Amino acid sequence: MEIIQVVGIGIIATFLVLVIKEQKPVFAFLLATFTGIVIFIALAGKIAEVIRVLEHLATQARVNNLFFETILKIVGIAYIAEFGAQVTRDAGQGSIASKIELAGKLLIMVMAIPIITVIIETVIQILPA
Amino acid sequence: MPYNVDAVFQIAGIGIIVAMIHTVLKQMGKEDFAHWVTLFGFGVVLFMIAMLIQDLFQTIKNVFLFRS
Amino acid sequence: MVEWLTDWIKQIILLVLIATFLDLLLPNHSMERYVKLVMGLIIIMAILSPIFKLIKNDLNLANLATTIQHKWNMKEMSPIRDIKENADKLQKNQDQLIQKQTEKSMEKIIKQNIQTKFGVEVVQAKVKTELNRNHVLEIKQIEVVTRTKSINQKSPTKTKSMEPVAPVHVEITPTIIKPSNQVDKSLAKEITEYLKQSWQVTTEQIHILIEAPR
Repeated sequence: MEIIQVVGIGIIATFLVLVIKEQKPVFAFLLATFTGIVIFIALAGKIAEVIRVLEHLATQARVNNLFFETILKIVGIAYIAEFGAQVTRDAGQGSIASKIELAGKLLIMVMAIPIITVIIETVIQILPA
Repeated sequence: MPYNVDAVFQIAGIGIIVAMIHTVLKQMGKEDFAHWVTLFGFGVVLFMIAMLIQDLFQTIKNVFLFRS
Repeated sequence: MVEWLTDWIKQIILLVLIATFLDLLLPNHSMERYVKLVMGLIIIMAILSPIFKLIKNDLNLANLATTIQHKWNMKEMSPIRDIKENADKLQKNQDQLIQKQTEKSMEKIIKQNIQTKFGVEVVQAKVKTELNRNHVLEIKQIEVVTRTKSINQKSPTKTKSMEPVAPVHVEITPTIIKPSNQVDKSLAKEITEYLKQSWQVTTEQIHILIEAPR
């Protein structure tokens, strides 16, 4: 029952943050970040399992490896960007948070560029000159 | 999961203790020391968190195939 | 074919499945639209992959075709002399054929004409032609062997050889006629005259033999 552990750590951290915020807001922020990271690392193993299963299926079905890697990279970018943005937003820096999100979106689009290029080239080739 | 639970309490403890010391030193009229202590405590906690963030990024890399 | 189809459909199904999973895995909604777009593109790629393969093959075929053509051209080009020789040979062959054909038809016409006109049996009619410099056929000599029907004598044949108006040397004497009698002689003369007029050849080119009838 890992969910209980996660919820427990979350609640405890919340109380501690509440207590410390009175004295030292900086430490409260650090504690919140730390808790977030711990929870995420705990979940990373589960996500990895899911992804391994998907990868296995993909190799069995001979899905192009490029596709799969692109997809995974996109998800990874989304996760990291999201994490950074939330931490910054917690610290009260909304503008930096939105910049981080912007960077995440842009990088995802960059990942898609090769695919878009291939599709457009093919369409142009199919169309009579 | 039990991986780093202790660290949560460590950080909270450090925070509380640093706050206490800060208050005490302030009462004693040594604001100089008070600030230094706060800074030191912050550095220690930040170090812990930096290590953890490195861990996190490594995990994400491994999970999501960032092999390049 | 079926295997290929299975592979293709499997790919698409799995990609859709993975896309759904990822949608669930994503941390927040602001990224969702972007991820969905990319996933859609990838699925389109998977659906279009057969077309990609086709296009690739076409390109390869085109390359192959050009290379082969190049090789072919090179091979054709280098021995131009051979080609010319071949052409010359063919030309000669054709000329010879034409010559023969002409000779044959001329012989036929002469045979018929003499038979109808002089009432003699033509045993043999031979026409020899030659190409002059301008690739025009000229008559070199005409040889006719006839046999008189009416009388019981054999009429010696006459052979005539004609030469073109050009200075072709004629090896044939105007008449090797050994006419057995006067009739034959005059007949030979007549035939010679006739041939001279109708084919526009000189006397020297005409050779007539008249055999006595059997």
